[in-house]
Amino acid sequence: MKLTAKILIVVTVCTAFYAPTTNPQVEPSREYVYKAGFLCKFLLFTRWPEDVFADSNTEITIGVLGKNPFGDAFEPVIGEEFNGRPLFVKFFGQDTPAETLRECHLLFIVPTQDRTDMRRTLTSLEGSHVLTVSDSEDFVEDGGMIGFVQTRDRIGFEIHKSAASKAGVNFSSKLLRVATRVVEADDD
Amino acid sequence: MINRADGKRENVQHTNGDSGNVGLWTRLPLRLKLVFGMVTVSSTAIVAFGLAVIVYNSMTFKQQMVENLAVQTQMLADNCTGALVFDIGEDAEEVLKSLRSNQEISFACIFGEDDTLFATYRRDDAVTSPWPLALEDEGHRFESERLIMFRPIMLAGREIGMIGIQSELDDLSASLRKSVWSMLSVLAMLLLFTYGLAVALQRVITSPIHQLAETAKSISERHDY
Repeated sequence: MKLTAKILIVVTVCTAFYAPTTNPQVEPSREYVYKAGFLCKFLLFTRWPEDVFADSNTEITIGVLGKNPFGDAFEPVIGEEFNGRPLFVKFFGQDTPAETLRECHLLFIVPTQDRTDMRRTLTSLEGSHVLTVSDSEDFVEDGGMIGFVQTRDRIGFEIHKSAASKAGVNFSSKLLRVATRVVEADDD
Repeated sequence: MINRADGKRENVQHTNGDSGNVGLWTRLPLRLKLVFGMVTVSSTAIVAFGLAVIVYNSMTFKQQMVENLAVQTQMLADNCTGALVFDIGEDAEEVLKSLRSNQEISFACIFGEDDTLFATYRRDDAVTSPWPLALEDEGHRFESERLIMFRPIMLAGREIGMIGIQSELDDLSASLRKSVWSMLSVLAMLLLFTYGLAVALQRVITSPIHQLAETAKSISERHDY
């Protein structure tokens, strides 16, 4: 089965049952499976510096920092190729050192009660090439690169283009086009 | 009755008994036959050349239409990948709205990977064709008044959807009409020129014959050898 077909099945099933809500805790599994599909899709529209990958066979890694909200949503796509590289997913505890997190290409940061934790994590990743994603409120304002937001009838995402550029992470214009909001500079 | 070189007619008994078209043709003065012959040959060649030019132009224009539409379709397909992947139909329709600048394009559709209709575009005044377009395989085809093209939407080497565009053939029709009128104008001018040239040339041919006929007449009437 094609990779995009698998993603589509995941997303279709989730969109069929997922009722948008302002409280992600009401239907967390469906919402996060939907978001897992988004994370995989982000990989298709993102370019990292070549030196991030040791060689052409190096896998592309999605990391999840915090309590895993995705369940086994990534199972159908683990090992599948994204931009010519097999996908690997790692889950990290909240106390994982930054050096370990820097090994990921995309890091989803699970929101915590304390917003300073989020800021501390983002600060610790400065200078790395990790694409940071979260559904934490004001994630983009805190310096994150892609933040999930709830729009009227669907889940959207905001992009902090400048933060990504600083990390050497470049987004395709196709991704920027469909973003709910694109932040160009730090003071935006 | 036969024609003499000086254009006068003379009664002669036909031996083959065919007095129809051959008789009409034979009754024509030689100078007219020469002019008619030269003009006919020239105009046939000109018309044949003109038709060849029109056919060639039509084929070239169609090829250009296909190439231009393919480029436009490919650009739209590329711009729609994000919308298709993230399931944002409104954005795909916004992309398709860029077709408004091309009055030739009447319809466009984007189909998802599961072949369902994802986004559509229809020019405001386009009402005559079946709508929406039915999904087809990659390729293009000409119908009587339109060109329909389908191309896959690719992302990272994978087909994630299909885009179909329908372009009217108004430009092709206008181009053909222009070619025909141009050819007719050139044909008319060339016919006039050919006629003038034929009239001048027939004098070169008929003058010696005319002189010969006068001499023969003189010998016959006055026995002046």
